[in-house]
Amino acid sequence: MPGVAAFVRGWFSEPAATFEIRRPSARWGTQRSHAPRRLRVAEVIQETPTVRSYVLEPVDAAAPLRFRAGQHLTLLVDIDGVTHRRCYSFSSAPAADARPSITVRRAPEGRVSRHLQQTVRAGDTLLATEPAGEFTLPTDPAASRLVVFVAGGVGVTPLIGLAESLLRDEPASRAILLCGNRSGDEIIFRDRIAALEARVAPRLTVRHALDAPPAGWTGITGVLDGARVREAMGDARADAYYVCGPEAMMRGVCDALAGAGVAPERIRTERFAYASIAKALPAHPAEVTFAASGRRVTAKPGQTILQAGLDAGIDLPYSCTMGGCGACRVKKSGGDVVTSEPNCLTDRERDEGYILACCSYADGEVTIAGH
Amino acid sequence: MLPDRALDSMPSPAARRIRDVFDAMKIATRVENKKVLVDLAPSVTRGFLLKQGKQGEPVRMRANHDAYFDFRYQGDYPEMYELYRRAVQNQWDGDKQLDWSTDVDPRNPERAVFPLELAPLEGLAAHGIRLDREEQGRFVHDFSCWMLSQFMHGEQGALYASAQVTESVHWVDGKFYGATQVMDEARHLEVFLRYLETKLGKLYQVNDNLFTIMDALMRDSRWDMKFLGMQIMIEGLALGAFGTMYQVTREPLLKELLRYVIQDEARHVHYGVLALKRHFAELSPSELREREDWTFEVACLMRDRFLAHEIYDEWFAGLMKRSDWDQVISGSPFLTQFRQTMFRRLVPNLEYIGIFSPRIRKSYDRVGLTQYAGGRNASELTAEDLLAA
Repeated sequence: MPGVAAFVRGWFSEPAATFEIRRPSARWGTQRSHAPRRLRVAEVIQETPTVRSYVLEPVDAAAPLRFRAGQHLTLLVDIDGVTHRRCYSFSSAPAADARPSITVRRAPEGRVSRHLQQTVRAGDTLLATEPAGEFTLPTDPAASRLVVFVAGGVGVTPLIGLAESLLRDEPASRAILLCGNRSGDEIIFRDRIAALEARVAPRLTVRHALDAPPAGWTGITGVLDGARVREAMGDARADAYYVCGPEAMMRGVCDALAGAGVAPERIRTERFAYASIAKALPAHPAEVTFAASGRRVTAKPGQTILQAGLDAGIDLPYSCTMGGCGACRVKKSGGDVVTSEPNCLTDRERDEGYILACCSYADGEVTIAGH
Repeated sequence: MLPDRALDSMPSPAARRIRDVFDAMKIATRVENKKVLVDLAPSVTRGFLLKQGKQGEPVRMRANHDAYFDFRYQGDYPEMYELYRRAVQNQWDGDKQLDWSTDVDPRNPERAVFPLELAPLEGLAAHGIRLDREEQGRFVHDFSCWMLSQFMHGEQGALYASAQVTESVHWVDGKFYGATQVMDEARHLEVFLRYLETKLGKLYQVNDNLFTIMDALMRDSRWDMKFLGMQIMIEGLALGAFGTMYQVTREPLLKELLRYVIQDEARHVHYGVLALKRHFAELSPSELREREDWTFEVACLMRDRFLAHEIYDEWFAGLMKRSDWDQVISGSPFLTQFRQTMFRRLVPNLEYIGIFSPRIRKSYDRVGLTQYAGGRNASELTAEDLLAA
C-alpha cells in the first residue's frame, strides 16, 4: 500500500511550492531576451565626492548576471513618469568571487546620474537590459603582450575591469594604466589600482595625471592629452590601446597614437553619447534589405531601421536605443541613411560603413550587410 | 463541519488538506442529479483530494471514446464547412505576427499586465493585510503569472480535448473544422507558454478546479459531453477570462496575443453551438435532462471556484483564513468582471442549443445566472463583438 502511505504522509508534510521559476526554453531559439531585468543594489560605494559604484545582484537568483569586462548595461530609470535609458560600464571584472558593479559620476547636467545618486540606496531595485558592448579584451593564458589603458576621469570604469582580467588571466602579459583627473580627490579606484599594482608587480605600471596637482605631486601634471600620453609611454610599443574618457581627450590621444604610427585596429575606444532626433527625417517609406536573410522590410517615415527590422521579426541586437552604446551597430552595404547625432560611432566605423540601426533612418532603398 | 478555529489549531498541511476535503464535499452535497455526481466524483477526487495536477509528475488521463470513422463520407453540414474554410484562412503565426521583442515589465503601471487597481487590495486590507508598494508590485506580477498559467493549462486541455472531439464527431465537415481547432489550441499553448517563459518567468501549477473539469472531459466516453464541456463550457470560460484580460491589460504584447486568441475562440464556440444544436434536437428528454444538470453543475464550479488558492498558499496562508481569502478574491473587481463576461457569453449559448429548459432555469435563477439569458449567442456574435466585450 505505498500509495496510501504516501497519501497519508502528504497530509502532514508541507506541500511543494505552487509555482516554478522558469527561464526561456531553447525552443524559442537564440533570440536574446530584450526584456529588462531587475537588479538589486547590494551596496553603494562612495568612490569620490561625485562618483559612486553600485554593486548589483540579480533579483532572480537563478539567472546570474553574465557579462564580460568592459561591457555595459543600460539602466531604465523612471523620473517623473518618463523612462530614461542610460548606459553604464561595469567597473568589475567577472570572477567567481567578484560582484558586478557599475560606476556613475554625477554630471552637473546629468538628470539620470543625479537621480541615481540622490535616490538609489542599498536594497533598491533597478531595471536594466542585458549586458552588451564590444569594448572587451579576449584573454589568452598563453599570450605575452603589453596593453595600454588610457582613462580620463570616470572613463576608468571599464578599463579597471579590463586591466584586472588581463593581468589575472594572462600571467605573462603587462599593462600600463594612465589615469587623468582634475585633482587628487577625484581619482577613482585609487586604492584598488594601487593594490592591483602591488599584487601583479612588476607587470602593471600606473601613472596618474592631475590638472591641478597638490604640492609635491610626483605624477604627471596637466591634462592627459596625446602629447603627455606619448611622453608617459616612452619607447613602449603596445599591442593594444584601450582609451575611454571625455571626447576631446580621446580624440587627442587617438590622434597622437596614430601620429606615432599605431595601426587603427590596435586602438579601441568606448563612447557613450545620446543622439537627439535628426532634424530632417525622410518623409517617405523606404525599403530596407537585410542581406543575410534576404528579408525586405518597409521602414515607415519616422521609423528607425532598428524598429522596422524588429517589427518584421528580424532579431537585431540593441540595448540603449539612443545611439549611446553601439549594440545595434550594423554595416550598411548600400543606400543612404539619415542619422541622429551625436552618437557613439567612431570615425573609423563610419568610414567602414557602419551605422547605428537605432538612430538611422532609411533615405531611399538601403541594404544592410548581415542579418 | 469543523470550525475554522479547530482547523487553525492543526498542523497547517493537515488543515489545508481538510479544507480540500470540505471543498470536495461541498461540491458533492450540492449536486442534485446523482448520475451527474457519479460522473464527476472520480474527477473531483483526483483533482481536489489526490491533487494529481500538483504532484510535479506527468498525469495520464485515460480516454474512453470511440474514434468515429465514416468511409461513406456522409453528414453534409455546409455551415460547418464554411466555418472550417474561415478557420483555414485565418490561421496566424505566433512567432511572426507577435512582437516578441516587446519589453514587458509587469510592475510598470503604464504598461501593466494586470492593473493594480483591479487587485483585491482593499479586501486584503479589511483583513489586516496591507501590502507596501514593493509588495503590491510583486503581488500583481504573481497574480498575472497565475492567471496566465491557468490560461495555458486550459489550452493544454483544449488541445487534447479538441483532438478527441475531432476523432469522435460524426460529421465530415466537423472533422475538417476540428483539425483547425487542434492547430489553434497548439498555437495558443505555444504563445502563452512563450509569454510566461520569456516575459514573466514564473509558472503556477494547475488550479484543482480546472484540473477537475479537464479530467472529467478527457475521460468521458460520450462525444457530445466532450463537445458540451469543451466547446461550450471551457471555451465560454476562456472567452470570459481572455475577454476580461484583454479589456484590462495595458501590456501591448499580451493585448495583441489575446486579440488573436479571442478571434480563434469565437470560432470554437460557434462550432460547438452548431454541432450541439443539431445533436441535442435528437436526444430523449432524459438524456437532455442529464446534460442540463451536468452543465449547471459545471457552470457553478466555474462561477464559484476559480479562487486562486495557489496564490493564497504562496502569499497569505497563515496570515488569513482561506475562507476569508475566498471572499476577498471572489469579490475582487477582476473576478466580478470575469464572471459577468463569461456568463453573458455562456448562458445564451445554452439557451440556443436547447439545454436551458424552464426546469433548469429555476436552478440558474437560484444562483443568480438567469439575468444573462436572452443575449446574443455565438452564432450571432463576431470576433469584434467579443473583443469589444
